Amino acid sequence: MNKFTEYSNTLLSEKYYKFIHGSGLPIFVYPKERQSSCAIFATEFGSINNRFYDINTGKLIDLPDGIAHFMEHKMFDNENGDNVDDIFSRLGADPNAYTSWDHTAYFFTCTSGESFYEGLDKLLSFVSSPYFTEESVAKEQGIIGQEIAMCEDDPYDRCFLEMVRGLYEKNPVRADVVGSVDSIAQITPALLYQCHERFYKPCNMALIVCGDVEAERVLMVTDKHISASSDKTDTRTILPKERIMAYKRRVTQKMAVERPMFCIGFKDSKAPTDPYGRRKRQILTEILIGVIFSSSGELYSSLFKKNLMTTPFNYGEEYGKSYALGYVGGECDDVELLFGEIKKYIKKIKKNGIKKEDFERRKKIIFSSDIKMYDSTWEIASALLDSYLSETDLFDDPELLKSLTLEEANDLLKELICEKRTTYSVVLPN
Amino acid sequence: MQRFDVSSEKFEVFDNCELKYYHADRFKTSILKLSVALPSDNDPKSTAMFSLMINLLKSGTEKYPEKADIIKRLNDLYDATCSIGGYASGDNRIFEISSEMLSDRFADSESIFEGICELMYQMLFKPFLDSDRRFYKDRVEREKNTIIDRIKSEKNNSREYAFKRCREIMCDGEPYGQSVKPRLISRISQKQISDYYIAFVKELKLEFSYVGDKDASEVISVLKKHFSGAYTPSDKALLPLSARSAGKIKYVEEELDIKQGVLIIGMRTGILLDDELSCAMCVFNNIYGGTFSSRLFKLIREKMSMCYYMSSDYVSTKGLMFVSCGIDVNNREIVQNTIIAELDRLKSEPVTREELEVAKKLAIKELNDITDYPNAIASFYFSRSIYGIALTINEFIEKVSKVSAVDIQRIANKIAPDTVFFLKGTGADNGEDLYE
Repeated sequence: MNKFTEYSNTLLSEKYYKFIHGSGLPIFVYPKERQSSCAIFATEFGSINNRFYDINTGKLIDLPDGIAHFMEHKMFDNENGDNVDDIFSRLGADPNAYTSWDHTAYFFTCTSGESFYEGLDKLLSFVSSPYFTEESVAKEQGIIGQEIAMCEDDPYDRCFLEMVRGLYEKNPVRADVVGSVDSIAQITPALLYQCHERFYKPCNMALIVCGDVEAERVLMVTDKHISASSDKTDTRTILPKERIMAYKRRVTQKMAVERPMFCIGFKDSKAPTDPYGRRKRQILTEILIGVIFSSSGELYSSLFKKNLMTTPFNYGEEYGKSYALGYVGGECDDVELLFGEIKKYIKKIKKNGIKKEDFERRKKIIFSSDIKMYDSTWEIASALLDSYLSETDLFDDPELLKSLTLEEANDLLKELICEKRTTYSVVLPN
Repeated sequence: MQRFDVSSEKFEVFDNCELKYYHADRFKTSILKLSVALPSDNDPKSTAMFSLMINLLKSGTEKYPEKADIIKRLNDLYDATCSIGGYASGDNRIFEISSEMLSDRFADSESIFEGICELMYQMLFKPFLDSDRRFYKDRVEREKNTIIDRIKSEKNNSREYAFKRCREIMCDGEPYGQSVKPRLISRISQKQISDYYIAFVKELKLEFSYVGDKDASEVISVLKKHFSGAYTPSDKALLPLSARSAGKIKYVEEELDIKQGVLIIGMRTGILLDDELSCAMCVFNNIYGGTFSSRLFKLIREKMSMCYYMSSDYVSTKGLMFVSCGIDVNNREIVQNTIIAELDRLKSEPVTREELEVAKKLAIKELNDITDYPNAIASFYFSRSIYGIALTINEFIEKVSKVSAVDIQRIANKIAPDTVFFLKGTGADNGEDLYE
């Protein structure tokens, strides 16, 4: 354990260990007595990382939409012809992966014990060893084509995506993570290898392990696959300058839905750039959106009694290094009337401020939710990854939450919920 | 190998009311479930009443008259959940109030567990009624609209909608095939639903499940405090598990204005929860279509590139299996034939040793995972105990480890396709984008 630094939180009675490998790869080991352990090996390469200068040629490279997600699918092939799913299944392990706006994660869960370390060995091996051919790329285009069709048929997914596109004019968050049939048709093995070389460097990645595991053994397995002298050159992507205001205030589309649905996005263009300032802002947004739109709130209760909303709002926030937004969505037969009611209510609370009891209640909810998370190895590992990507420490969240004041929440309310930085996305029945 | 003690203990809380208790102090959360299992009367009107009653019980109580009041109370109890729902189990119906809460060791003043027990009692026995012991008319009408809106929205999720339709068609005339019908919901009167509720709570077979760090004696004491004398215990027997045979295959197609088609094939296995082959069935399902290394996944997705998702799911209380996938509409026939052909192969050819061992390992892993989730522990024991099946997780694992290739072939030869449902995407572009 000599090389690992211990991080602990006495309130939660939790601790984990962190070590920065010679390659630049941060390794997090979170001991947790559970039947099952999990490991995540993630890269900071997501759908927004679509433009960079090639370090060899100096050429500006624009990647086709959906390539990070495409690569995620292809990493499950290897040169021997073995399928990675089969390799893990033989260990009784369950592998999977996902791609988001700013990262791609490969992970597996497995019964704790020797099989877990064998699985970790396989995980590090397959993610570090790309293998792409014309044939396998063509095959995957068929599979992802079906995934794209599935996403395009999902009205909740489309409503949210168009909201994001309404908020952001240039930021690549507006691209669909899965891409389109046309964009993935441009993907070639050469392009995939280029992306792997640039973004799948250990210094651009993170390894998180949670369960009944030993840090030293994790390090031993890592050393087998990751060299301390790994390339640490530039992995930055170029992000365009984005306007402060929302790009489009209203977006409407028609789909095969029975009732209209909506998603309202609030662009937080003034979120601080320093990690802790941004994290604090994110938690404040979470509190604010929750206070305004929760099912126990004044707004929803009134809309429910008027029969305008019969199902609860769904709401949340998304904060990354280059994007920040809050959102609320739902279904309603008369979206125009609903939007009018929401605007009226927001005007009222901006004038009077949110109530202290509602603010404190929301803090209690977040605090409780944070504690519950520590029962699940998967949730812990995911939260550790999120905090790493946001350059904060997971265990600082309780104190951050405690430090937030009603005054700060009311100040944010005036800034965040502003018509010029709001997009209304609506899906109407065909 | 199980690292944690996985047996549950049974206690009698009071006459004809059991507590299934599982002590686990490694979690920060606890689970309490209040369950009522009753035979379904296979009447669509009753199904509609049951659904409306659940909504009304969620809408408010004597002490917490509005939904918002209940939610605020839960927020104050450190964001505990307390959900009321109903689901089918075989030809029976389960009513359940389920709560996940933080352990009391995190509470600063009042006991979270005590607060939840009180709330559960309120929700079931003290709903918000008028002076004539009826649900308020405007509330009844509002909740009817809520249910109708929810049913309307089901088509927004094409996969779930297709599964529902396959189930309805396949099990037409059986309780499992029933769904709530909007026209029946809209016809329910204030008097009818109030009378239905009064009859429902008059005689109950209540059962509690608890997973957490409290001593059993404390759990029992708090439950007795709130629930003793609240109702009359019922001795209504559940309908036994039963499986129908497959008849001539039904082919049904519906169209929806979506791009992708959804294919669901419902099959009858004849293997129920209490069957000697029930534990082996989860191994079979892993081989056939239940995992990323299953035959259907490898063939239809990885080799033929014809789908993104492909799965098979086994319903043990009805002996049914559903295979589902999202595909291009032009590939329907080839995918359908492949799914059936692969089942036929499993009937005629024994599986390889490696295939069998992998499927067993994955099944054992899934069983082991149960003990990492308090809710999964409670559900595992409850779903079996109502049918008198006393099987621990360890015993289940033991049975799975002994499954043979002969067992897999026996199972395959019991399975017959019953219903093929295809939700055909008409493939139109998704309407017009209108920017303002």
